[in-house]
Amino acid sequence: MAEMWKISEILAEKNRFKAFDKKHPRELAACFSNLGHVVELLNRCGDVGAFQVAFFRSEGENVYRIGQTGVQHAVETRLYVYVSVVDHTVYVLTIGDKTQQADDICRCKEAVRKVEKRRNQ
Amino acid sequence: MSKKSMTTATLAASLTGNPEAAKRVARHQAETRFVRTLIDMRVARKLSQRELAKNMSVSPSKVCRLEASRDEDLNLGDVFLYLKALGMTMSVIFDDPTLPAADRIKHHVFAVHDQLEQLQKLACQIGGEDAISDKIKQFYGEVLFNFVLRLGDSYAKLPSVTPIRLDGADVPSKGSAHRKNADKHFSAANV
Repeated sequence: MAEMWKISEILAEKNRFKAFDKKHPRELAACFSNLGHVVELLNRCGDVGAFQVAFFRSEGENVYRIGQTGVQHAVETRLYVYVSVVDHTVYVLTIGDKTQQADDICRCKEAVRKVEKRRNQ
Repeated sequence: MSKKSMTTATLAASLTGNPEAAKRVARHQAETRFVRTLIDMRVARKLSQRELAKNMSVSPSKVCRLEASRDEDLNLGDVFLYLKALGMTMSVIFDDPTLPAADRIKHHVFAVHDQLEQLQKLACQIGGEDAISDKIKQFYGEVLFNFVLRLGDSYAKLPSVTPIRLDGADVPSKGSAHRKNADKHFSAANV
């Protein structure tokens, strides 16, 4: 039986989540709901490349963004995750809106590089 | 690296420090359940949004919008088209909770009967000697058994009744325990 995918918060920027929840609670909830769906699809399909959904996009270097859906007049929101095939874990990284996305992606990739470097040592 | 398994609702509450976040995630999941099922069926058929849009003769952005909707915002015509493009049909059950329970049960019994009739037609088309036909016959036995089992279960819980005996064994007073025994018997007999 294939190993089930897990979710981990150990790499998450908690302060960002707290601040974002105060400003955009509906969008944050939608992103986490979609994260759940992504994990279900990973468990069903086994691999991140085996399915395509619009709210789940690669940003490169195993960093993916999960968008909000089903929220009227929503602020475009991105929940960033690191999909690690090594330990079948989706690490939640940070959350932000479209205006911050360039900085967010850079920071997420840096965090993932550090993790993968530590893992390879 | 330590990690733990958790639901996304509890994760949202944990990261925001706000229990309300968990409720909002659960609400969003409830509001998009049907849409998720549609996406799951598309993914199961290994179709991209673009391929499905082509099958539907609509633009990919329409499929994208549909899959980003809440259930209550879906258009019935779009859903039919989506399912047709997946090679599926949709059965709708109109359930009126104000109707008497007897009427609602009858409705479901007739629906099951319709399905059994379709299966019977398939068996007749295949003929009697095929392995599929054997499986269908076996399935009829299973349906009957499971139906009688559950009917007996509910019947036994009615006030002042003698429980229905299915296999000649002593019938325990609790329906669920009886079902457990009967399930064992069912597996062994391989009806």
